[in-house]
Amino acid sequence: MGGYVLRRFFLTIPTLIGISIIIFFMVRLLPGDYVEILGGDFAASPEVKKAAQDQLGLNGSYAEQYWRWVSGILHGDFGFSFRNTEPVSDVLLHAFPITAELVFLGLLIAVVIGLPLGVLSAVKRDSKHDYAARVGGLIGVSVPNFWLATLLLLFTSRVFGWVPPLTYVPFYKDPIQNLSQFILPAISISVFTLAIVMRMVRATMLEVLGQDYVRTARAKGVKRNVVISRHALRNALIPVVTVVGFEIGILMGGSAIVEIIFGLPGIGNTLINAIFNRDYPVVQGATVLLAFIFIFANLAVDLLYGVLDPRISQE
Amino acid sequence: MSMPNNEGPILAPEGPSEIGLGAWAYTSSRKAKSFAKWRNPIGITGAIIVGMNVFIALFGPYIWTIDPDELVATRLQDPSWAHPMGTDELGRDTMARIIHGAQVSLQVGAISVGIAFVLGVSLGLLSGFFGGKVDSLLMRFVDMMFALPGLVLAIVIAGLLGPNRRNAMIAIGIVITPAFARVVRGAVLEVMGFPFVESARALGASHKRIMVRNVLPNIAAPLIVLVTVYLSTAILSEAALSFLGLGTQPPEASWGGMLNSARSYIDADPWLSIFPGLAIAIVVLGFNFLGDGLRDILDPRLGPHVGGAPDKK
Amino acid sequence: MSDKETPDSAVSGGVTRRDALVKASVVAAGAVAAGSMAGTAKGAVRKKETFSTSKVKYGGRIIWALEQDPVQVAPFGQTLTSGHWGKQAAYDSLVEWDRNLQLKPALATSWKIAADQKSITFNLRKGVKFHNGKELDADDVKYSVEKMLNPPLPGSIATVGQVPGFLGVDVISKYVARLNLKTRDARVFGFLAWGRYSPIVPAGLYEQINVSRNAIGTGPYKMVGFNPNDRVEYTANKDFWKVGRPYMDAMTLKTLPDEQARIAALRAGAIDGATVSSDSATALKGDSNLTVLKGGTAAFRELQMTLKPGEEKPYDDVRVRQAVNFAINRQAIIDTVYNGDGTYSGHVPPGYGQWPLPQADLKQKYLKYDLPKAKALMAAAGMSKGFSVTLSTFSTPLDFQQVASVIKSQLKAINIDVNIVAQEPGTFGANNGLGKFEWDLTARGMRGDVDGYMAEYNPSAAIYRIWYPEFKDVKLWRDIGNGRITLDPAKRLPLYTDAQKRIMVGVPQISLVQVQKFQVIRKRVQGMYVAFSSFNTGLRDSVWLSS
Repeated sequence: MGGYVLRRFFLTIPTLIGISIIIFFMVRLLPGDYVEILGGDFAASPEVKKAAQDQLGLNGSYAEQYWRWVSGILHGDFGFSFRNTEPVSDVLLHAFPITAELVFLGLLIAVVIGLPLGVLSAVKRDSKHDYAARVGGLIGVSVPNFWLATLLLLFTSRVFGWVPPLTYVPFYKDPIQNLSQFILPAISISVFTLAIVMRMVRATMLEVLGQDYVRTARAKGVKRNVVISRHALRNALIPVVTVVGFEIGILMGGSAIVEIIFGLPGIGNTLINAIFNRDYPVVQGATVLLAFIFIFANLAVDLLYGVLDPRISQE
Repeated sequence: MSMPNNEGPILAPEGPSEIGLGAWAYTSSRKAKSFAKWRNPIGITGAIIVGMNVFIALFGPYIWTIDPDELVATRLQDPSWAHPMGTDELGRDTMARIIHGAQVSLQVGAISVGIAFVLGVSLGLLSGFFGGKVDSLLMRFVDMMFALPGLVLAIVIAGLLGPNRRNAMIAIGIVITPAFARVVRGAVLEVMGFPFVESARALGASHKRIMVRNVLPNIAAPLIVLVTVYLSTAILSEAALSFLGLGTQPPEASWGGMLNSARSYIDADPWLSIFPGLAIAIVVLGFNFLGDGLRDILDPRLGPHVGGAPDKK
Repeated sequence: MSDKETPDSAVSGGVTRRDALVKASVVAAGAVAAGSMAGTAKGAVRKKETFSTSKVKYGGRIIWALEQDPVQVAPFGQTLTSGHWGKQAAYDSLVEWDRNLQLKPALATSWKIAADQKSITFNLRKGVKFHNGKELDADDVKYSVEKMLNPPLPGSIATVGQVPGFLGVDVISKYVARLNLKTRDARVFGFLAWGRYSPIVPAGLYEQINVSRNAIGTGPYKMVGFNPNDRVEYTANKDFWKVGRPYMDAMTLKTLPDEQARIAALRAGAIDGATVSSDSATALKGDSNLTVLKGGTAAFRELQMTLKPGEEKPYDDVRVRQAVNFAINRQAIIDTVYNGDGTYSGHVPPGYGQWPLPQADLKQKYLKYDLPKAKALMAAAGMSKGFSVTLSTFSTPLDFQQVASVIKSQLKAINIDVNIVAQEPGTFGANNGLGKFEWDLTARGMRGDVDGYMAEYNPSAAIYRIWYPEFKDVKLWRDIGNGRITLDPAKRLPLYTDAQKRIMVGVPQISLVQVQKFQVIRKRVQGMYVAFSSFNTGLRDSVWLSS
């Protein structure tokens, strides 16, 4: 097992290097070099251009620049933001906890509601509950989240005269304000995942309930509820883990639009603004961080399979 | 368990994909059994919705002949006989724009999924078929594509190639390609273990022949389901890109773009948002229903089983 | 900016209604009038700004939503308007504009222009304290001017183009500083009063704090800190040099780029004010807790073309450009996109002191919608069949796309087929600055001096050579060149009037409309107004909270 984990771990290194190369060149290919932005009308002048490049660390060939960046990272230095000269690591440290909390809460809502609904739907297959849940689930994956976020804001401001508090307070300082700030955005990002969790749990449960050993158990007189909780639920957790692991990676970057709407200074919001501002170091740092989270969340999922399903042995 | 374990789950960005790969029906007896499942209300509803959308996209402009880009009337009108869905913030006919949007949404769905299909199937097929170093190399590449945030990729592509629908479609296609590659690879790996592939090999068939004659037909079922599911993902993604101003260009109508500009009027003129919102929801729902129905029909166990979770037989 | 458009309610708390800007005539002691938008005195009576301080309530915290993130709050080299929104409450300059853009002493109490007009000696206000307790002296002025001329990161040297020909500062004594100029320059006072690029900071500021996220100035509010994409926090500066100010204890500027989020927050009372679109303002009018403020700003929309050698474009022919100008129905743009709230604009926006061309001239002559004339011009140019052209614009805010859609529809009448390309702002800005476009639908903003609106037609400007080297008008160049070194507003006016008329006839750019800005505030907010400069000057200077 240890060897397996180690092997999987090392396999992620080439992926991360590849991503760092791709993102490094992609941002530089975008029209609107930051030197041009910084130099404005003067950008055409070679001296100004040279001076700006030196200031920003954009001198030398792309290969040299890339090497400077990567060797910086190895020393824990992600560079500094062009736009506000802040170290990129600080930028990410500010943004990360916000998005992490948002994603955590969103996934929590998705699982807490999606799991029981999925089980119910499978157990009472083809009942009204089942159809209602399935149709509801499909509607959940059909609504753009920016739209849902807008509706939520409109609804609470109109009906309750309330919107989430606007200034971010860490959970440990003021849990209530913190949670009331996150509840609407968390719902907005949870709906899609909730629908998927529900559908996958339902499908897995149906599959398991139809399998021989479950039927045998039932035939032996084991109670239905016991069968469901002992055998089926354990299996139903596998898709939940899969979805959650995957969605952690997706939502960390994919919640950008919801963050923008609710004014949360999270990582997606930071990243989108950095792209629009051509703030290369922030784009690079944030992308590599997101890729890292994505890869390790998935790695964790794979390892969890082994725990949840003893039949899966490691090769 | 037949699948090597060095891959993550197959879920794709923003896309549902509980596509079962485990045991697809290959025997005639199973096919006969599954035939009964054609009586599938959800799937049929989906097919009808999708069919209607195609009909509206193709023939709508001949029936409702107002130019969707022309400023024909007073702005922000409520629905009336002259303008059954009202007029928008510039005085254009919303119904004409919804109809045009139907064409756009189908085009976006077809082309971006087409791109993902071609790229994903090629990657997955080569990877699963040849295995070994080819597999490792291609899958590392797919991993990278997966791990790059989709929005970043889409914005960069739109920035590089210019913001328009064609490039948005390319971007969406590229973003969902890895999902196709993973699913196809998994399916191919499974098919490769079946006796008929080995016998074809033994008979000296060429790689190409085996791929085309033996492998591809047998992964058709998961692919069909995958396509329907990602058609809806593509339509939603175009809406999200339009939110950021990177999708269909004005004044051309797309549902995502309409919904985005209608947000400003959500309070005073809700009609403006309701129609494109409903249009998106209905069509996405249609594709999802269709996908669900097809899965029920094509997957004998009814059970999508989970992404990268290994085959439990 | 016509005064009647700003509801009185926000003003009634203490400040009298301001007069029409153009009629004002007060000039600070010893000053040339160059820095005042109003220019020469027109003899009109100007009411004094009377503060019935008994009515004003002190204290409280205002939460104001910004529609765009400041990104950074460094004092020098700010390229974004939103950056100045973020920093403006912390900094002062040597002089300032009042609400009517009249020049007023600020950190300098008086000044004297040398006989050769090539230097200005400023007498500094004594006893002014920076937020860190240090007293203001001439060394700080010297340091600040150096940074204006060479803004360090994160600032951009692009802004140096806005700085008049400063050579540097000589420290005469602790409270006297002499600003040396390369040549006579009419732009100096406008530049200083505008404040955007000209704050006075303590010497050595860049070594003391992270200027991107903090500030040390002399302004009415002390910056507690700025968190990107989130908020700027301020507390009152108890040692502020204006006695009795500021009114509020604290101020939060919260970044909320999504308009629907701002509206929801306004309705729920989570913010005290924000800028919204005209349609949203209309929708919010019914809310009894809110007041809608409205006013013109320096921002106007225009259609820009590239005229470069070696590019055979149909619109190289001046008749084609004139045809486009006459085929655009500006009133239709105002009605369709801006809900009727807008005015015709020349190349100097209406409300910018005495400088813009009269509305009547614009409406009835230069910018008149005249389709037959447009068709005749196209025919004369041999272009009756029209042509096809790409019009790029910003993807956000949405009104740019909408104006582009209306223009596309209007130009069909003269057979011009317009393809719209909406680019995200970074790409659009870069392409615009590099001249990589056929037509751009863009906007112009506030300038410290009228020269700022004309500088791009001056062949010595880098941007002229990028945008329209093929546009040649020697008389226009002479007007602009002389205008810059003529300090007497009365002599400057005919030069700039002539220059604008020449641009209207030669149409290297086609000016469109000036739009109204809407700010919605809660009833407790008093003393706020829509600033012509597009900054939130009221927040720092006059706003107080009634509860």
